[in-house]
Amino acid sequence: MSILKEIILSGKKVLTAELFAPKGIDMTLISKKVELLKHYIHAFNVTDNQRATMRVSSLGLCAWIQNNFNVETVFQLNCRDRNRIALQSDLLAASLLGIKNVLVITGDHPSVGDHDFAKAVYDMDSVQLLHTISGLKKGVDFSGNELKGNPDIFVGATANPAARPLRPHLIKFGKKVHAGAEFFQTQVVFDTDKYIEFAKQANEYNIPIIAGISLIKNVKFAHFINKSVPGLNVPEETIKRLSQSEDYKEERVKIACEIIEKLKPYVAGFHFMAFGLEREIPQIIEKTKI
Amino acid sequence: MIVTRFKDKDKVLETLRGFKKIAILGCNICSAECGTSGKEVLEDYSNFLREKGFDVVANILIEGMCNTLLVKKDIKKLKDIDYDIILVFSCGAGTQVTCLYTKKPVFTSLDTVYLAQRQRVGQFEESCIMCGDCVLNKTMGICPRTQCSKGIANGPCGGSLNGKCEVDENKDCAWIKIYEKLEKNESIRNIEKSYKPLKNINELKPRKDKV
Repeated sequence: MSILKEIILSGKKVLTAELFAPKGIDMTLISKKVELLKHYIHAFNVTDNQRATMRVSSLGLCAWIQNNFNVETVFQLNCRDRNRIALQSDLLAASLLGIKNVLVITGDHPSVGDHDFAKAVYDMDSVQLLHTISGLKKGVDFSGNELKGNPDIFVGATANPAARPLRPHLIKFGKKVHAGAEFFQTQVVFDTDKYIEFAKQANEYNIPIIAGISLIKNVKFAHFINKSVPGLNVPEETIKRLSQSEDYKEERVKIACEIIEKLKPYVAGFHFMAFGLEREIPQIIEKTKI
Repeated sequence: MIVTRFKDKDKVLETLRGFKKIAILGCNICSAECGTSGKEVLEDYSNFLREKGFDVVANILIEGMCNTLLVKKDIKKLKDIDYDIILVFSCGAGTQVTCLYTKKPVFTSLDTVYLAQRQRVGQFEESCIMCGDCVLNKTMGICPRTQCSKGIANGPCGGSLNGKCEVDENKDCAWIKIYEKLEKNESIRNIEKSYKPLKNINELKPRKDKV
């Protein structure tokens, strides 16, 4: 069974960290990050050509990390780059390679990435892919053909707690649950009030939600995120705190810890998106005793 | 209507290199509507080609170049004219129809882009991707396959923020628009069920109908 699933079932807070797949096959930096974090977190979540920029695939990197570091990974599977055949085929390959978790995502549009005119596939959306994976787990593919050997994989989906109006996003959340999502991972949380408003309704589905936690390097990086990361918005209040504090490095850790403390009652765990500040994750985990 | 755009003139000249006598055929329906064909456009383009050293030997406007019968009839006007190639000002359908009725090379000066609504003179917006599986009855007349950048079927993606699309902060999220209109009409249930992936879009091409 997936360690991620085991920990969630045990009621303990599950901790994951996001690894941006590199552009190229130099694994020096990513190896350092894995070594640094592997004793603090339960699984590494590997991005799948995030922001529509071409990189090592999530599938390949998950397998490489599992083989070299003996840690668990979460395979991100996007609907942008694959048709229904490739989506299912990669899911089977992941299970064959010993990957125990998958996170289904729609995928950022190619126009925000580094291959502007790449053909966007979106043959299935995330809800349809979740339905399809539920079928594969039961031994049947999208077309109704029987599989020989079913994939055993813990299936997650994403949610953006800050998206407003909230209701259409909650309707989709419900569809994802109905389609077989077993856990959710959220976009980075900055506004805890918005998160709590979201969680109060989303938690009615009684499904584990892992909240996204980020470390914002500095004011400049906050502006970069607001401009170029779809679905993510660093609030003015956070930017102000970073710019006015005497020690912004201390402040960014403090901000992350405060968010974690506020979210604790509402979440199954935390997912760190550190944007290059992975070295600061251990102290956050220690300070918040998660 | 079908929206077409001019190809880069240098690219067209490159295509025409080595030929001398050009017969021009233009469509007087959609392309004329969006300013890529019509009497004046064809005359201007003829003058441009003459300046570049070509002989424009015919200049014919046809009332709908996607109509094989009309093209077959009007192309007869070229019967006694000596021409090397035909240069077409119409959508891709018109260019291909022209190819059926001449043995000479046929080139187009336009790119065909989308099926549009005409909002006012010279202003168009894509309105239908011709998916073959219309969902407008469930979405209050707002097409998610056309209006949503990703064309997804089951609600807003994670890039939808404050009702805007991740692709462009000035572009409305189609799914939020659909939601808001359904809510006003107490029909939210329309989007509570899960929609399956498209089927008809993958029919064998070219698609054909006989009615």
